[in-house]
Amino acid sequence: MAQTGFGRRYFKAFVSGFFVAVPVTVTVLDRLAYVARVEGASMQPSLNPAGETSPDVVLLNRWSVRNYQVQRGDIVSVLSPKDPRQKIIKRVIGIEGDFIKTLGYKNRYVRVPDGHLWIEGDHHGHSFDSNTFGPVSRGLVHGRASHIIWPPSRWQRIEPSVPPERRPLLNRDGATEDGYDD
Amino acid sequence: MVLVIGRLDVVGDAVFFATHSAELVRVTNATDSLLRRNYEDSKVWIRCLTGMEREGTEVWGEEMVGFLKIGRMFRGFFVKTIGFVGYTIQYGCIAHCAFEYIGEFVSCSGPSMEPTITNHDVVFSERVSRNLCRIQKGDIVIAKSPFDPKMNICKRVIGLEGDKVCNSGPSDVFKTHTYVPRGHVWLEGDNLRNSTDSRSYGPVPYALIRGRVCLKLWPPQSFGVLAESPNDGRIL
Repeated sequence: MAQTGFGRRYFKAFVSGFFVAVPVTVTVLDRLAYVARVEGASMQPSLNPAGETSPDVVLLNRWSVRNYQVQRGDIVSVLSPKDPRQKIIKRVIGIEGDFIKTLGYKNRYVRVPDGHLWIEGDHHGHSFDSNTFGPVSRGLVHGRASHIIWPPSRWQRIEPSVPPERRPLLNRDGATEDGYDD
Repeated sequence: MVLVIGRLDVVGDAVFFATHSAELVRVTNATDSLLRRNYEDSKVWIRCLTGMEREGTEVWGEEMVGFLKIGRMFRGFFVKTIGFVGYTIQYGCIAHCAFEYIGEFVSCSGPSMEPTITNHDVVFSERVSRNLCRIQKGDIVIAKSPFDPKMNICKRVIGLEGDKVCNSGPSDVFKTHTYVPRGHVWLEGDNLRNSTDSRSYGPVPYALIRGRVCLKLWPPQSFGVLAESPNDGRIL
């Protein structure tokens, strides 16, 4: 009798704990932070410099993109416009209104439309990014990569920075980007 | 008889008291002690039929009542606040999961889906089809606007990836067609004359879709499942 009583109490505690833990975990992963492993070589050398032998794991901050606000130079994860189940991680090169010189896109120069972003991988030529599928809508932004958390030797905060040769020709205020310092 | 009022912690067989100077005093010789707890008054008192001693001195604790009553009430209030916050977090998370993975209520505005959905209608849109990638041609969907992710649009799916859609206007003589690219859908409102949709801004990525509208809830006279597309021939 004591054995059955203990089993039932354990089962009830497990079920009630389960109903607390699962929604809270799901909400935290959806709203606050998400952890993801980076695959592929499209962001070398910033992410995954060792390739498939030692992939980086990044922390994606979902709270900072709750209003879909990103700035140039951020590394963001977006839902792929070509496959809605896949997420791709790239750097934001241009925001709405910027005038960009493209690398291999069908148009040589592009003005990023309203509500869209221009994203590129750091490893040009090995990257499936806006140079292939054009500007992406801001509603597809999933999270901003804020830290590299694995391997421990690469523990660091990711700072937003645009490579100097990829800065927009004209930003949305109409100013040129010459004389821009980091 | 000694009437002692203080915080009562029963540890096994020993009974300890916290006095006003925060010392722990142990009841000795408590062979006839009677413990009674009165939680309504937030007051605990013990009546020892024999004396209570600490190293030979007797302890009286009547002045402790005021101080300890406030302490117990404050502690109770703190515990209640923590409990309230915990419940709020738990129910908030359950609500988030329900709205993200099951369905949500949407109030539609604008004339672009007339006569199927009119201004100020309330509909229920379910998220399950979208998460399982089972949106089909002819479904009415709620999607994030490609130009402003905080605005939502409510349109009908005319074509899925790979389908041929007609993207010329009704006034054109020659009809032109395009193919919907991979990972995108072609959306059109039912009120073709008064709707900005994929005919003006092109195909919309599938990942911007939020949910499929399955039931109209308000106004009550048109409660129920939504009608088919009134525009024959748009869906090829």
